[in-house]
Amino acid sequence: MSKKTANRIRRIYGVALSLALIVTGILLMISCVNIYKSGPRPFTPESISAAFSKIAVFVWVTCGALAVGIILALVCPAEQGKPRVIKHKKITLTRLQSRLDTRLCDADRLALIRKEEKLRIFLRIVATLSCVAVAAPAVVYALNFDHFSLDYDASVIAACLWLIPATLICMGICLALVYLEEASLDRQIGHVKSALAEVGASTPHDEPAKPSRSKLIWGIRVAVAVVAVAFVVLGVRNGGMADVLSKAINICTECIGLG
Amino acid sequence: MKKILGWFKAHRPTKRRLIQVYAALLFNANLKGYITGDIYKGPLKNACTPGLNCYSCPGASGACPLGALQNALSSSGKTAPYYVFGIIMLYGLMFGRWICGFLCPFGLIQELFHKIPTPKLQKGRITRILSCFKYVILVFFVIILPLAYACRNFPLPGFCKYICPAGTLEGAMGLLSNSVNESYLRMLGPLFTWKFLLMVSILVACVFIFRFFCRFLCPLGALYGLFNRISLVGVKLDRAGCTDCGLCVGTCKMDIKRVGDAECINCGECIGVCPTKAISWKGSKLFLAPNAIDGESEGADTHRENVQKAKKRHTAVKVTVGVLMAALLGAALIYYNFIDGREDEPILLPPETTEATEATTSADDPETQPDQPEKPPVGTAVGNTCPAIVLDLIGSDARFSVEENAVAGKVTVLNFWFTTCGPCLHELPYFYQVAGDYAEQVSVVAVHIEQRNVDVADFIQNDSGHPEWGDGTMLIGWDTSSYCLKLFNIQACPVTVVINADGVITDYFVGGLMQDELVAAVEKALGDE
Repeated sequence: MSKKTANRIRRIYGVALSLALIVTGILLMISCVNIYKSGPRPFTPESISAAFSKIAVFVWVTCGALAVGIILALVCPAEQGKPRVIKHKKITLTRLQSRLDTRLCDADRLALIRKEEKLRIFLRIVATLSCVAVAAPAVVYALNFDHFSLDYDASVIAACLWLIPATLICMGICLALVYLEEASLDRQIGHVKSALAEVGASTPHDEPAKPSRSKLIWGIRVAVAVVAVAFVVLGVRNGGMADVLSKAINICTECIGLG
Repeated sequence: MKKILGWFKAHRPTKRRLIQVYAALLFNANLKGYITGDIYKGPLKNACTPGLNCYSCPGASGACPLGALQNALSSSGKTAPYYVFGIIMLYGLMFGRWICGFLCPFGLIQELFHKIPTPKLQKGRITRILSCFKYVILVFFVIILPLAYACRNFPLPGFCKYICPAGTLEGAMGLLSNSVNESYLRMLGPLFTWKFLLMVSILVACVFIFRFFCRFLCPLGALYGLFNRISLVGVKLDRAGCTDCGLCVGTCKMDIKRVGDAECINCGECIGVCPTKAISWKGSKLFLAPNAIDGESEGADTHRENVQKAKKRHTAVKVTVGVLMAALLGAALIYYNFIDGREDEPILLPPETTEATEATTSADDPETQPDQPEKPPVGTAVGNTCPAIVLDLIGSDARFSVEENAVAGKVTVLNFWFTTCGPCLHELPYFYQVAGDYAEQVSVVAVHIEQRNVDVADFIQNDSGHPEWGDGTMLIGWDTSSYCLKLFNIQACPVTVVINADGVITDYFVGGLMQDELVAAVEKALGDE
């Protein structure tokens, strides 16, 4: 079998299996909702089995498709794709800039480089302020504990209606920021490359040695370890450990979603 | 045949996968729970396992750190949550998100689902931004919600209740799949439907998106991510050796920006692709494989010597760790399945007892009481005569006897609860109401089942938000020696048992009751007299 045919078969199989899985998932969900809405109460294993048996065919077909996948993998094994490369543009820029002697650089070019740097700072400030403005009402709502009444399902839904849109908008802002920043970085990399082409790369000047971070990290580790051990000892003494045991051995039906 | 062997060779499990399976087995060592449908209730459950593993799973050998954290925050008004914070900090410091990559059983489930050969969604800027969503979940569902309800003295583990797919898959489905727990089916409703939909959605998403839950939703990963840079185990990047080729970030399926950042689960896949060997395991001097020794800068002899040394060290470490791991797993399996002696405790009466016991023998004897109708056999199933139960009452020296209550012609309602159980506290006002409305005909006893040193009277007076519960309208009992717990085989709370004036059990409910359900059950018991 030619590579092309094998690839095509694999692709068709992958799409078919995806569809089968999605359909099975949707059918499972519909069955669950149907059982909840119209199932005979109280539920019995028989009534639940009867409701799910309607979609048994789809489940078996999906299982069959999965089994076919194993045979397919034997007949036309997947090829190892080329590893992706995702460069960290900021690091690339730092490397390039370390080779650029700004004293020899054209003033206009340098101004363009500085402009991109300033633009990114401006973008970050705008994005941060926008996120704060969007998130503030939701945060204020969530931190006002009076909003959480003993009708907890309704309270949680109400809080989510504040939080989710705010979160999505903030994410949208961050996404826009990422795109704009990357565009700016690309432009700046272009400017730096042009400048390097004009003045030539200098040998990267030795940056002043940064103080070793390993000592700082070990200091933090020791501090965290001391605090953690102290917390555990305090927790054992104040009954926190017994609380954990109490909760772990007594099933709270709501906590695992039973109802 | 060659092809099949080749396929198996190409698909043999990696070391990481073996460790994942090992950890899943170790954290679910109570295998007999899957057969008995019961969870492990021994003392070792006060230790948190590092990964996301629901403690209501029949196999769970320890507590879930996230569930324990929410519970600790829920009761933070009374007890400062030092213990859980300390444990999470220790795990974070030792392993960081290495736990996600190697030890988390739900991580393993997600990866196995992702193995299904379908087209996969590649990571990008959008997934990178979406990965911040788990911090929102951490802050709102794990911290704010339990704290907000702690102020109302109501325990509400927001994440466990509304989101956790591990709880639904391992806990709820694990329990429901056993016919012993058929009574749980009664309580399935909107909450279970929501969680089932969420679980199915997450599992289907995991097929197409690598570790969908882990990347976008898991608050435990978000917590451990904070410790990733200082953790003792994990991958590290030697910045001096890095050429910024971008292969490591490109190979990684998580939304990392740099190796070892908060999104990195330390799976170690980037180590193999780094062309300059700038990525290595932390503490790799001890664990370094011999072929990873860099000898280019040294002479051939020195290199050979280094390789020999590393080989010896590596073998010794491998053997020691292997033996220790095998011993630990063996000990855990033996302890949880054979030594933990709860089976040795007498099971007082099986739920489906059909044979008459001593208590009914005399009543059934037609010679001694020829006019009495035949009493049902003693047992704990609906329709059986309730066994003799005598309960200590909190805030009183008196004791409550179900038998004596029946002799007095009253219906008994036993409600089993504990102070940190949200649904228990939610339904107790209904019981108080019924106790007041039917004071002449019904005795309602709220039986506290915890054996630890909880001052229930103090809880009712100061922390329940309902100090009236202690006024004697509703009796507050205490199952002092877990007698009722064993008798009724109570595994999940709340449980309500209604006994009519003949001493016969007319209803048995697992899970929260609404007021109308409770009134209907009481009316039924009164009508049965």
